[in-house]
Amino acid sequence: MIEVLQGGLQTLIQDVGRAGYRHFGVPISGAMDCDALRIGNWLVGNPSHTAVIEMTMTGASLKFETHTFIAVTGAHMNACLNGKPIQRNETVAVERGAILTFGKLEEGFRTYLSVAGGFQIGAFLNSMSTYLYASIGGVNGKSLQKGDKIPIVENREVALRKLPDGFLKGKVSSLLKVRVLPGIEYNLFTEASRNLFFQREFQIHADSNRMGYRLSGPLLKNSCRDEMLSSGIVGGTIQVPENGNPIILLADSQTTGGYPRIANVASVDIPYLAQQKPGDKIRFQKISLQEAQALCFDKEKKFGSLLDGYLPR
Amino acid sequence: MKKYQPYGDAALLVTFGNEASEALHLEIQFFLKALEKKKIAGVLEFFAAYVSVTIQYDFFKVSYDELVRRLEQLEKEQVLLEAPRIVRIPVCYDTRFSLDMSEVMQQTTLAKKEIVRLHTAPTYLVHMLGFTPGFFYLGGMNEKLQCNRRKSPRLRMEEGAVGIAGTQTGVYSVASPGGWQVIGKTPVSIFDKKNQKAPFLVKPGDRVQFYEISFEEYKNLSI
Repeated sequence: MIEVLQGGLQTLIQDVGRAGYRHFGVPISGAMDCDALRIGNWLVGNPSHTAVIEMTMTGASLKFETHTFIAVTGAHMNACLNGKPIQRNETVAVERGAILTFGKLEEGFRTYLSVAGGFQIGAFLNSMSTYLYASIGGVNGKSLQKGDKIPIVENREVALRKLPDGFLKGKVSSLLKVRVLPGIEYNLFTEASRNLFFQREFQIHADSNRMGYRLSGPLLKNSCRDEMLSSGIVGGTIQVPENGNPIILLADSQTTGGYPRIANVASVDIPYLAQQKPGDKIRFQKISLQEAQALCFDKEKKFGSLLDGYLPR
Repeated sequence: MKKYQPYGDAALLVTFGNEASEALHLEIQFFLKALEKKKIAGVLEFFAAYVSVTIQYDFFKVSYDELVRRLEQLEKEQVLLEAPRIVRIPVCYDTRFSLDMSEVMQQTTLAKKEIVRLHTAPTYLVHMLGFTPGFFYLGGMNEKLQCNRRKSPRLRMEEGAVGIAGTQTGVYSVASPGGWQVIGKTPVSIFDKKNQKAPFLVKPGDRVQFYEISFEEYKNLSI
């Protein structure tokens, strides 16, 4: 059992998401940084789709009522076990009664906690992912709060692992280059707007969350009819409402949308984007479908070989 | 003519036309049925909107070009569609729930009785689901009921609120902010979280009819 002593700003149980229900209007959800989820699960010997705890901007305080193994991945939030700092990206043994706390956010935005054997909670539509908007998944469909108890597998023993140095890209930069493919309505944007989109920087607005990142920067104009018919949305779609400020739709985004889509973020860059916080800046770079998919092939080769062929997608 | 476009690096959008219609809806339903039957390797998930279908695929298993080729061949598939299901949904138009009825009366220049009659008359077509889990987009609302969205959207629409906006009518499936004009409320769950096996009242392709109930009936059905 894990007891939540303090919830933090937004602490959610997330797995790889609730795929297969978008025709019923149910978003995918799942971890925003799926790389951190996969690495975390590898470190504690879990199947790669196992649910983890996602903490955004601030961490939670958690008490372990059983001996287990954990790993902290993603953003650097000064994790401490019984007051002593622990390393990210390696397996950590936890004694019964130990308390895990987090401090100041140093780098990135979302920290992940994986636990050997995962959580013993019910799934909704085949996923434990929390979707706050409809209060489904996780613990009562909510952000973890003081007093919540999460059952875990007791006394599971796992091999100690460490992510090889240099496996991840260097420090998260406050100006991130985000590679994108031209979107469905790309050609309906004015030439000037298309140029601005790739030449200028955009800043992540404070009003950003798991549904989407609102951006501010040059205003983008298009020649779309007043109202477009709603169409399906996939993660990483960048839509532009009438006000001209783009929104990058992410894990919890609605399944359909009615605004022109200027671009789509390449899959490999979504985990990096998820570690950017409000106020950070990004710049878009255009790549082709072939290039975007090749980046994924390379990434899987890297994940596969460095992590003992583990981490099947 | 169908149009195929890459949609990000792991999805594809098929567009069937420009205007939503019953005919186009049927064409999409046939396409979905054929896609379901064919079970193309690498196709992970697909979902329809008014005039398009989004297909999420695993490009480790099927390339974009290969997928388009396979999709083009679907036209040859012989599939049958089941007769559409008719889902009847009770709506209480009582003043306790019809928060924007006076606004709708003003905009449509119709009496409340006529608004209720026109709203309950059609058999609506469920074009698609989206917005929130279980929320359905209906086609077939009487033009006389058209009205604008609220100037300032409500921060919280209750689950079950029945609204009108533009040419559309629908039911809020979960409590959420919303800008539609509210004319009633249903006691029935559109998205029932407690029903793990079948949480959704309606699916794409269904037909929906609204019927009027009194406040007393509403209370009885809410228990």
